[in-house]
Amino acid sequence: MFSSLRSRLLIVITLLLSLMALATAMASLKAMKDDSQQQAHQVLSVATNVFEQLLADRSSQLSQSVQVLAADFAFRRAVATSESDTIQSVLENHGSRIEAQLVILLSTQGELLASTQPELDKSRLTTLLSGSQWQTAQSHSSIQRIAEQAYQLVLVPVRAPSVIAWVGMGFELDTELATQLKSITGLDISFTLMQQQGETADIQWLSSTLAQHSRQQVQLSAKQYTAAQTEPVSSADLSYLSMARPLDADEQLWALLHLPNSRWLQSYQNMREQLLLIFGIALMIALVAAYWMARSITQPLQQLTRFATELGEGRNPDNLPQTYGEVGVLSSTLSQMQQSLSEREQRLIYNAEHDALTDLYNRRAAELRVAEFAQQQSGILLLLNIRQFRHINDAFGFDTGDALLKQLADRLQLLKPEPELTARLGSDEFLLLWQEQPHCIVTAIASLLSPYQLDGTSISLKLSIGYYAFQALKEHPLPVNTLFRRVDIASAHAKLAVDGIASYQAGQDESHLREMTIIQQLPVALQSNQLSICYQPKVSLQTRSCEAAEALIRWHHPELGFIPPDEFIRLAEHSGHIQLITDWMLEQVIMQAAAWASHRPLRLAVNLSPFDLTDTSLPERIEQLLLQHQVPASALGLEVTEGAVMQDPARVITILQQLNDLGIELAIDDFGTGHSSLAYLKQLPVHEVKIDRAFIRDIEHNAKDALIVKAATELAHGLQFKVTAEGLENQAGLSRLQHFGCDTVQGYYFAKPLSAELFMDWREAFPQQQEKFQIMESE
Amino acid sequence: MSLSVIFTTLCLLCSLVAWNATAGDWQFSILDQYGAPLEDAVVELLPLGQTEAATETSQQATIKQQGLNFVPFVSAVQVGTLIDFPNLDRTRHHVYSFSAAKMFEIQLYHDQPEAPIEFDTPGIVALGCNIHDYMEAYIFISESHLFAVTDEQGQAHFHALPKGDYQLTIWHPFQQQELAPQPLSFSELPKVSQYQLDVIHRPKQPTPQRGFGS
Repeated sequence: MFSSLRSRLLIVITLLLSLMALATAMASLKAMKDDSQQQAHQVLSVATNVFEQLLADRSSQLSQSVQVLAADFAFRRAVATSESDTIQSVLENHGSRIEAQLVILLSTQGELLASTQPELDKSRLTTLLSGSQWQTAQSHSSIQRIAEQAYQLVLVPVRAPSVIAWVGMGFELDTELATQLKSITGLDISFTLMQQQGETADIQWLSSTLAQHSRQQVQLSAKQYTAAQTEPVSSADLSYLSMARPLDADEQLWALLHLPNSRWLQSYQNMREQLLLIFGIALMIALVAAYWMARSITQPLQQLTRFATELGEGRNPDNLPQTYGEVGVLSSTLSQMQQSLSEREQRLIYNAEHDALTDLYNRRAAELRVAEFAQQQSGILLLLNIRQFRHINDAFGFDTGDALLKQLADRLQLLKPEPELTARLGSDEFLLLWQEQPHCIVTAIASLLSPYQLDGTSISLKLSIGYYAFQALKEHPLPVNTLFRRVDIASAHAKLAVDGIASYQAGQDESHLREMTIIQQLPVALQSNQLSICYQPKVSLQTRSCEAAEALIRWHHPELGFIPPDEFIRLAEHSGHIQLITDWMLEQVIMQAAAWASHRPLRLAVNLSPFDLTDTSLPERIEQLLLQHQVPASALGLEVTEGAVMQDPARVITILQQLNDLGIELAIDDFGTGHSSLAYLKQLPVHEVKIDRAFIRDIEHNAKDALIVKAATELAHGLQFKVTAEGLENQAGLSRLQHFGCDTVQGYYFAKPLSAELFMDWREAFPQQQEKFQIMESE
Repeated sequence: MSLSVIFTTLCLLCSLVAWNATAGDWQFSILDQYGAPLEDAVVELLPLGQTEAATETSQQATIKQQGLNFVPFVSAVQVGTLIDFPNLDRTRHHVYSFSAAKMFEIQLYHDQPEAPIEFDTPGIVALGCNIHDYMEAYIFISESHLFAVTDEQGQAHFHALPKGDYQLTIWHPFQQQELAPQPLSFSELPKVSQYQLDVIHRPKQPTPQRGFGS
């Protein structure tokens, strides 16, 4: 989600603003904190100085007071009496006059003579003054720890008039004093006692203006006391800043001045809250601004994206947003792209529909337009081919051929009446469409026949023209495929016609479709047992027995019914399926021969197509089949037509020789009808000729047929061939054939082609049918 | 504090000639710790092994209050001396002593007190005035009749002293430590002795500024 421009912009602005706000806040707060600390330092320093001055003032005041007291004659006299009771009384009496909490009397050597407090550490007192000072000093004031209390102790000599003793008066640094000092300095004041006990220091509160609970929080460590002499030290909870001053020489007694921190803490927090508020508002404004800015960029971008998407999907969007700046440049670029895309698309469409050479419509475009046209109205489709165009290409080269096609195309477009459609379907194939049947196509196309000038050469064309006049069937318009097929059929007929013009005749389409069906279904039929084999006996006239049969293929189609073998064999030869049929036949017949191996020897003959005889692998395949089914070569015969030999005599003879070498008996089928060549006949390694039924059918009536049969038989016998007559239908014919010396006869007179089972029945029964021959004999 | 007393006896003939000394003269020169002559030091000689001839008539001395000061600052008297304290100033004085040797008090008075005061106990008496705190004076009450107070040259003179053994005591009001008495013998030949004493110097009877209390 961070990849989008909007979120990145938002993040950057937020980060920058936060950084800036943070830096500003830190700087401001730090400056404020420093300022506050400096102020606090100043306040505390001033207050500390005032505090010290106050203590000094108090000290001098007390000194004066005590001096006055010590000069009192009665006091001096009492001291001079050296009566301890008297001295005790006078100390208490005069001490109470100036509200001293402690009064002591010291000798001029510093020894304690009397005290208002019975328990005093006397040793500490002797060191208060140096030796000589005990004689001469006027007064001495200091703060002393006496009996775990802090006292401001003022020592004054008692003169009589020489110094006879020192009187000391102590004024406790108590809460009352702290309160007084607080009223002047404005700060809380504490007096503490710090006693070093080895490593640690025991700190004890003597008096303070602070409430009890605050004292715990203001508590400072020994180290902090040292630091607090110069710099304010903050308490643990930041509530107070404190400075410390040592009061006595041993640095055991301390005065602490406390400045409440709450004032600047309060303003610090106020400032922080204000900064937060400012930051928050600024962030909100910045986010709104960033959102608006991002939107102003991304919205046109989204529109452009949508535009580009529609463009990519092939639609033609027209709502390009009006924008300026960089997005505007992109927008106009997209617009230009749209234009050039549109142009290119137009060109592509044109190229897709037009032939590159002649600029006429191509087949696809022609199909579309003809389909459209045929839905609306009647018309005439004309398919035009250049005869032997390949020869022109061969003779003049492809460039000339192309130039010729262009010129032809140009003339087609100038035809009168003008065609609705002119298209080039293939190399030299052009399609024309007229709305009405022209009165005379010949005159219409006459202009096409005049010679074409190419590179100084004049070329005349022969054209073949097939046409189909169709009716507009609004309810069920003819599919364009049908239209094209029909004109194609017409064209095919035209190619065969002498004048090169043919029109589609009703029914041609249906027979064409039937042929298509046969061709398509033949491989299926081979696998699904629609084909079967019949055997027609060949009867030997010498032995009067059946020792051979011709295997004939039968196809009973589930829809088309019985399909004549001539028809589907011819189609199979055209479509290249003939090898499938031959292989199937060979295998079936050899299997049948194997099945009949236990009977009397029988040769089964299979017809070969001319295409089979160009296949050099045929002898090997047959050998394999014979081996596979353990059938002797003598059980198989092969029949070929004369025409088959003529196509490629050398190769065919080689293959026939190989078959002959296998021991298979070969026969020339349909002898006398094809392109017989006696020159080849003598070379062929065959054993038998079969005289076509055309000569046998009317042999008893037609003397010419009889003569041909007689001559052919003699010729064949002369070449050492056996002779078989096909198509014998009656006994009269049989007698003629016997007379001519035919070896074997095949025909309905003996038996029509029979299924394998019936054939065997017939063959078993045949020896009992000798009457067919007897009648002949009786004649 | 260490007290160093340099005890030196000098017998210088030439100096006798120059000084014009006669037999039985004994001169003491007292110096402070810096070697400067020390005024107001009391030198007392107590004859040893001789019975002191009792004084038949009591001796008289005077310590005046003049110019708001005691004059003299240091007096040395024999035990039993009667000292008069005449007030020569216009103001009244209230002379007192809290010293053990003689405690007394002459309350506010003009001119002459009612009676002189007899100092019948040897020792030191510090005198003060309750009205003028700075005023002070000292009386050395000696058991002996041989004593002298040094002059500005720090000298004290004894004349016609019989030969014999004496106990010397030197005292000064500003001395840091009391000097132990020491026995000496005297051979009637003129003799000069010099002693040093540690003192803390301070102005004696510092008169306050005029116009206040005078």
